[in-house]
Amino acid sequence: MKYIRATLIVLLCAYWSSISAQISPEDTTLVKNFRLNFAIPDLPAFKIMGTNPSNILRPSSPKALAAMVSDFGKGGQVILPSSFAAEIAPYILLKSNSLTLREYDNNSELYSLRISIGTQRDPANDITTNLALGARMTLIDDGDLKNDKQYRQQLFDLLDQKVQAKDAYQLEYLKQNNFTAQEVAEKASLEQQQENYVNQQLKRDYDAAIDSLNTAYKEKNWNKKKLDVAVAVLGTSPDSLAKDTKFNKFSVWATYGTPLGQHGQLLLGWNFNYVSGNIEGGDSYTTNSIASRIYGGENKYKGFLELQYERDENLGANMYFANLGGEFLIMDGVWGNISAGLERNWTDNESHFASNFDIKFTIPEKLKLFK
Amino acid sequence: MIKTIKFNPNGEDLKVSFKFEGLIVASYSYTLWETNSNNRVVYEKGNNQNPDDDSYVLPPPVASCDGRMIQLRTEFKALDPENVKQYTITAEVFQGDQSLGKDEDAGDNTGKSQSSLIYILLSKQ
Repeated sequence: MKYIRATLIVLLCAYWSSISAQISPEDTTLVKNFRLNFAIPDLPAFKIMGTNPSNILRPSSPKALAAMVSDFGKGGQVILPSSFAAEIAPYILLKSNSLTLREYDNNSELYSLRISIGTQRDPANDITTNLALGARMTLIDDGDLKNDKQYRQQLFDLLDQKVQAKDAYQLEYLKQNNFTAQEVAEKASLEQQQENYVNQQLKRDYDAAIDSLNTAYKEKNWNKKKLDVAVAVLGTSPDSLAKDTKFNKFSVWATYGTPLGQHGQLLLGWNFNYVSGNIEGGDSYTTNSIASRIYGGENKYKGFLELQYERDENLGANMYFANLGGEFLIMDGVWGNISAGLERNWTDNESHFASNFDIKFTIPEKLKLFK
Repeated sequence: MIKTIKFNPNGEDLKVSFKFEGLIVASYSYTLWETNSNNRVVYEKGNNQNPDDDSYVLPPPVASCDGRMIQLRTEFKALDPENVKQYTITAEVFQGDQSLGKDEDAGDNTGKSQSSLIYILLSKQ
């Protein structure tokens, strides 16, 4: 299992490097200007492994494929990450290029369904292996242009104007050159000539108008209302071969995001965990937590402040966690997430420092999976 | 290039249907050109918001459609090019409920404004 994980991580990194190297300056501009590159979400199968004391599951727009690696440090040294998780959106992968607008509108929640799997070498003993399976859905996503009827209507109107203008210039071309539409259609060179004429005659730069519609939407909507729900189960195996895996933990998350002005976002999260006594031989117990996180910044660079309360029935303790961090776009399809905070057991009057660094991957614009 | 689809001049009414796949927002115009002429027998505008109104019955009598040409001009933009990589725009001709044939335009979703032009020539059997 250890070697499989290491191989997966190395291949993933090498692959992303090669894909990124293929992106031309033109593509980079495209990505920069026209892609709604919201931060990719936390993965439930990753979150349940408990690599970070924060229990809030950040909501975001669905990606066909996403991955996360974590635990880069041990004893002050940089090590091969011990946690790895990947997430797929099965409906997107299944329907993919055959998806119509009506099908999307009728199944937008299904479109947001994501299934994740994760594996972790237990950092406590370096022997046992955790395996996780998770699922999540986005029930509200006002920051997604696909769901925005006003944006869509503006787009329809612009495209309609462009179609009509082109049709008018097509008639003009036919008249000027004394061709019939059929004569042009039967000869590729004439068709090309006609379309060149039509495009040259267009008075308005419709493409720029459509692109600016997208750019404006992106800047205005990265922090709009979102509601994500997720569940995950965790199993633990006594060895790295994942034999005799036993049920360890079940988790539920709900996270609501709402805007704070133009450049801020407030997240409110709830998390419930049922932890089995199977693994450590004790009694089963539950934990409940509520958390709030405030983001500030632009789409590509954001800082955050987080406060969390957790009731741990196993310890009979009230836990508090204060966390500061940031997330930033490293390169197309690659996000970094760094945080540091103080966890305090208010019942036992104990505190400890916690830090974390994650890298999240999603499919770069250049990659074609479904040809 | 133009595609020719044959129909029965004594059969049921002809209908053309348009389909837009690949999660795109599309506005289109449908033109039925008169035989060897630049007269438009039909000129309709539409979009893919509602697929139920993207089908059009060709004006009868059926035999008069011989030599007429269907043109579908589409301007579109992909809504999620990051996840849905390709588009397909299809124009399909039916006589009654039977499909007589179709022509389609397929390509990559770029995330920018894109264009498509499909021609179908109708010819009696």
